[in-house]
Amino acid sequence: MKRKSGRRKAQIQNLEEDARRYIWHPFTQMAEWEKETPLIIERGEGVYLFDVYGKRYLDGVSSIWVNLHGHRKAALDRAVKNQINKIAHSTLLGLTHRPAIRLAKKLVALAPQGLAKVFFSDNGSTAMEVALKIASVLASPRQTRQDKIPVADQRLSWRHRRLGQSGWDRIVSRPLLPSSISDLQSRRPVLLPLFSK
Amino acid sequence: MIQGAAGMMTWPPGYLKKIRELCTRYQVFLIADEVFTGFGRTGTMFACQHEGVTPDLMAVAKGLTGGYLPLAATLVTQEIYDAFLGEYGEFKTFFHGHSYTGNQLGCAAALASLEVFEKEQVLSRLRSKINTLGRELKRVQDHPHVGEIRQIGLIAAVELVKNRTTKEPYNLEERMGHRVAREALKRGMIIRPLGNIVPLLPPLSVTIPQLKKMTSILKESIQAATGH
Repeated sequence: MKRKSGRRKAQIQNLEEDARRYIWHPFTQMAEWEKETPLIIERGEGVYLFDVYGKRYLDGVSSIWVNLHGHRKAALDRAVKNQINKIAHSTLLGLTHRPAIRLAKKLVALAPQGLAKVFFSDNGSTAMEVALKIASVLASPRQTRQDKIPVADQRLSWRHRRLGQSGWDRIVSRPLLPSSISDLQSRRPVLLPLFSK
Repeated sequence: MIQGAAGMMTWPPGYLKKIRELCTRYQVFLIADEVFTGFGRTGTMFACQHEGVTPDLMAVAKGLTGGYLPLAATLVTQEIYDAFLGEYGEFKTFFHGHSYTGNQLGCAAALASLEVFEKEQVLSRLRSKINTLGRELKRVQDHPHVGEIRQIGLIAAVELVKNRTTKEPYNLEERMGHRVAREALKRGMIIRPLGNIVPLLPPLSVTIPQLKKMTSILKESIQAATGH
């Protein structure tokens, strides 16, 4: 028993060494992180998280605002395991699959009335980026290869002309990517003109 | 209804509704960022529902899979979708996407999470937890270094101040929020501050006794960190 716990302790210490050495953590001053013993989470149960030493912690921020039903929720564990038995991933480019179809239908049913279509992506940043890109594409003048604006877009071009009067054209006509870091730092947030005087 | 990363800033009632009216009047797209607020966090399934607002676009992520896997979605109106339809040669296609778009594991977790909402009546059982959180936070309210407590649904935020009367904030370099978090860790709770703001947002499945334990640890941690 003593040898086993000695070996386990050595393993954990190696893990802590590697934790300090290899990963760059988000929103973290790494100079501080490297000086401290990293908190390594091993498992979860309900609202609790357990570290590699078996110490228990209440998950006071839902693992950064994501967890809803607790860790190791049986129904969710089961659903993911059942899916793994079929396939982990296949693309939505040119193909589709049952979980995405069912989820899209469910989301439309639950969402505020009027939202009708679902565009999937990977996280909150990409979801907002999709929204901003869709909105800015529609708010820009649209041109066909014949340089004619189709009827459907005329309605939206009108929207752009209206928005242009309030300063949106300065924002939407810019490329979505800044040409340099200083450009990124100097440009105003896209949504600011909506609220500024 | 609340801005998360901005410092857990709750909105005054009617603000979202006014924004919707202005956007409709001036023909501006309203994008609702429900990434944080979606799936019961504010007490309703989506925060927009507090004020009966339908945005033109709505982003969800975070709680979409119950906190299991990275998956997100952007919902749009039929009108917006239709604006991208046309002959291929018109190049109106929305040329955008990601490799793991619609990943099956994420979708499976999401479907199971939504089923839990139905089977366990998660939303209707939130009311008593939200009320308990409000009541428990009142015990923290009188602390000399608590400037303001904000709450919506099961989201709470304690804003720490140097001076309660003048609302003078702590300098960010003092890292008071961080100090509170370290004290909370010693007492068995993980929280992550936003500057001088200490959020508390437990999973929706938290029990009443666990909620009381969390607010108790929060109070002790603030006392230990501020020295009062």
